[in-house]
Amino acid sequence: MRVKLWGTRGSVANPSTTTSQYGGNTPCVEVRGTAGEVIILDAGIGLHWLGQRLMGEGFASGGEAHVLLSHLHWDHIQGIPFFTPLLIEGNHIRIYGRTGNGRGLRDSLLCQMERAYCPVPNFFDDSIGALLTVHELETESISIGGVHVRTRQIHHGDTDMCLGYRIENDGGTLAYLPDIDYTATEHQDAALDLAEGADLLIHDAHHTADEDLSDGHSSDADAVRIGEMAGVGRVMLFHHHPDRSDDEIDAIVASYADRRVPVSAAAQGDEIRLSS
Amino acid sequence: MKILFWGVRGSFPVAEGHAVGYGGNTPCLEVEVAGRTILIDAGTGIRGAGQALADRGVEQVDLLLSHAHWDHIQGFPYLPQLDQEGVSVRVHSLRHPNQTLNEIFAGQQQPPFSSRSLKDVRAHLEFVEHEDGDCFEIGAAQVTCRRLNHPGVAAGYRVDSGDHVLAYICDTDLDGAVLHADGLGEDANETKWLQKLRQNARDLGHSADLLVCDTFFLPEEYEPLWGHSCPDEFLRLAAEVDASGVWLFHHRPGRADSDMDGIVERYRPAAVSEGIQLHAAREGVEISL
Repeated sequence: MRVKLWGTRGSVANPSTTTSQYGGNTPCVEVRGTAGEVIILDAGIGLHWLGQRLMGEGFASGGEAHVLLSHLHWDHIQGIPFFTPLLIEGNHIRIYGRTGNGRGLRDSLLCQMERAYCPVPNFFDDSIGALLTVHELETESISIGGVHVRTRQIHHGDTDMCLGYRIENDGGTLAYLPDIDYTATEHQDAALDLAEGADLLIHDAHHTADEDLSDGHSSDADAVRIGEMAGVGRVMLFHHHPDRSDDEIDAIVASYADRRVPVSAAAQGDEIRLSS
Repeated sequence: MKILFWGVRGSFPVAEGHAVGYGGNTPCLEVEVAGRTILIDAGTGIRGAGQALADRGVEQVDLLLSHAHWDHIQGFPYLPQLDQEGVSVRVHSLRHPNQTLNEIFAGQQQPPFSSRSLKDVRAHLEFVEHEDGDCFEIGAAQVTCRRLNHPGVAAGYRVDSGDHVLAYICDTDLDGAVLHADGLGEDANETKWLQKLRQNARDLGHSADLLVCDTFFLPEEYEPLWGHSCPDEFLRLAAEVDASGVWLFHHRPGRADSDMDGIVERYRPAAVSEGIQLHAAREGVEISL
């Protein structure tokens, strides 16, 4: 399994010379199964650039991609209107997620395409571009080719629904907890369950421990603590605060140099291989 | 008058190595005129603009909104002034036919898409809806708002301080054959409306010191259904209306810094022959008139 980071920044994109190392695109993580399965975690602005890459890898004529959404905050879906493979007939793009608000996932995603906000063609119309299928995730487990996906609700402030993912393929395991808070101890349960023994944990580190943690996000200290409790192979800090500079992130990572678990910060463009 | 570019990129923010020089934030300009602060558009560039205003203790901001497409409003929830009690934020836009401006902004900040409700704003927030052709004052500056040819409801603005004029004409397809603006052309006379919207752009740009232009396309890339222009059309307009400075703006996401340099070189001879100063807008550039 191969993991590539296309967007690592939380809340709002921040293109800046002070963020160019860790990146300013909002969340998007590409996961490739060993049989070539194309799985995409979240659809922030990074999705556009992943789409451009996929156009050179078969998606100019016909490919299948599976987009797993954690939740519907803008920073996790704003790349969808700019995902070029959606314009190409012959592609099949499947979007998975759960809303928890009584309104379906498809209807919710359609709001982004409303005329007042969005001038691009509405790909949700079957006659336009790729075949687009929206899957409301009702079970905890799905299989995509040889990739096994398990999901659980995680706590993200007052958001109706946020999902974490555990992805297993060919003996490698990735846990993805992009937006999560631990304002109550029991919020740990789902996080520990999804992360248990994973080779790589990608975890919300929007804040530092001395910041206000009441807005639905974690600190780097939370991320490392959960990673150690779950016995993961490596913790990757993710969903960086929009104003967190490269230098500040470097300092945060350096502060964990002596920990038992290796800690790094997600950097746009990085690629990691996971296998047994 | 002082103008500062905080965001110059069109469609969506671009945090990629190829765009570091000209900048990747979506549209936002800061205009200081006769002691008042005007922001134009609320792309991601507005975060930096708002922070700079907060640092200076500015307590009154007028935001001129061209239109409500994501790239022009997505920074608004992160405008620091919204969290400041005692600060006044007035948002100006053209009236939309079926939605109030308040509804459009509240829609962006509703669940499940946002956890920052417009109801939690602590500043005094006011929405002002204008008609095509309205003139109004912001301090001593005269502002004119006119409809442009872009999908939905889009406006350009002219800010006239008495001594100097800034014209912001973005987003629009200036000379295209397709009528994009919603709600017009129902009398089947599209040509008449296209001429009217072209005239609107002329009126906004007349004798402008600075013409900030939607030059998303180059002629060889032009897509007639998107509602954007090329530098060629704006250089023609600038010559017609005696504008002295043309600033290419709303750069395409894939446009690399070297591409931008090349575009300026490509069009400079045509600009020089008309006596027009040509620049490509770059994040962080400040112009004092």
